[in-house]
Amino acid sequence: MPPPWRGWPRWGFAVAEAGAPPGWSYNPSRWGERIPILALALVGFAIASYLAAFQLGLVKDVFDPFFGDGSRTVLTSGVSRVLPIPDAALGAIGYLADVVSGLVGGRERWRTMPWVVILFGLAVGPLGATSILLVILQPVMFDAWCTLCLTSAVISIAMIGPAFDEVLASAQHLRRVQRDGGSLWRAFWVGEGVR
Amino acid sequence: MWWQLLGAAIGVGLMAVPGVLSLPRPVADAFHILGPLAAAFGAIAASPILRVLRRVQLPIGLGVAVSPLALGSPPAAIAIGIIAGVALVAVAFAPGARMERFGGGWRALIG
Repeated sequence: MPPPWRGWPRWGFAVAEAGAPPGWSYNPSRWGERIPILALALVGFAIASYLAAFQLGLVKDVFDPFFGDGSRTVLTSGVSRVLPIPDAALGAIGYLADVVSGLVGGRERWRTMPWVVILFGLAVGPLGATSILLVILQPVMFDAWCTLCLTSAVISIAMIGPAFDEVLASAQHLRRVQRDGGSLWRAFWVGEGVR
Repeated sequence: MWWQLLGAAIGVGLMAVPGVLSLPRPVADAFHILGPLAAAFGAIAASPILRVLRRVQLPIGLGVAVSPLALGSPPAAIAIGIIAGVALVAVAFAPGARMERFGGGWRALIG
């Protein structure tokens, strides 16, 4: 999410930044936009990896400053073992997918690499949705809260809004290519099309 | 943005209410389900790009207002449910975001 003043000089009309999509006041793919999301994803990855290490028995105890045994109850619950790998390990993989798909591509990747941007959106969105579900399950099914699980959920939700401006820019770009009679397929994979 | 963050804060508050008031099961579950949803959609809709999702606070807010009444709860929970629920409904009708800076927004994809 850009600060509201970005691209808007004090005298009040929009000056598009270099590399900004048509009709945009800023470029959502510039590194200044992407690095904060990448930082969040890395923190999420670290937390999820730590929780997975506990679930795999690599760490004996799990840190919880507020809810005592709550973290242990949540992390050793039946739900956490529904899948072949512990749920925190799946979360760590999800965050890693965010990092990789957030990192790949240049500063105009909304137009040069739409497939990565869409993949990025697909990695960020469902991770957040899953974490909401897991937050609900903590008190409803196990009568317990887990501090680091909640922290991870907050991080994954916080990434959604900032990540989706790029997704919108890529979707608008593909729509323009399609309207102009260009190849949607090529624009999606190779990044050709208008301009 | 502030309206949506207010919605998120209300959601976080609802998550804590059952523990603080030691509410009985059904209404505690209602707060524990609707609270995280309100918190998440508030945080997501704080971003101008996804501000349209503020509308989701309407059904969530109605649920928060009605469920303590319907499920039978102490008066404090009923009062909190009505106040928080009405506030969430208000947040759902907060102003939208101007999409001029975003190439016309999601609307540009249709038509």
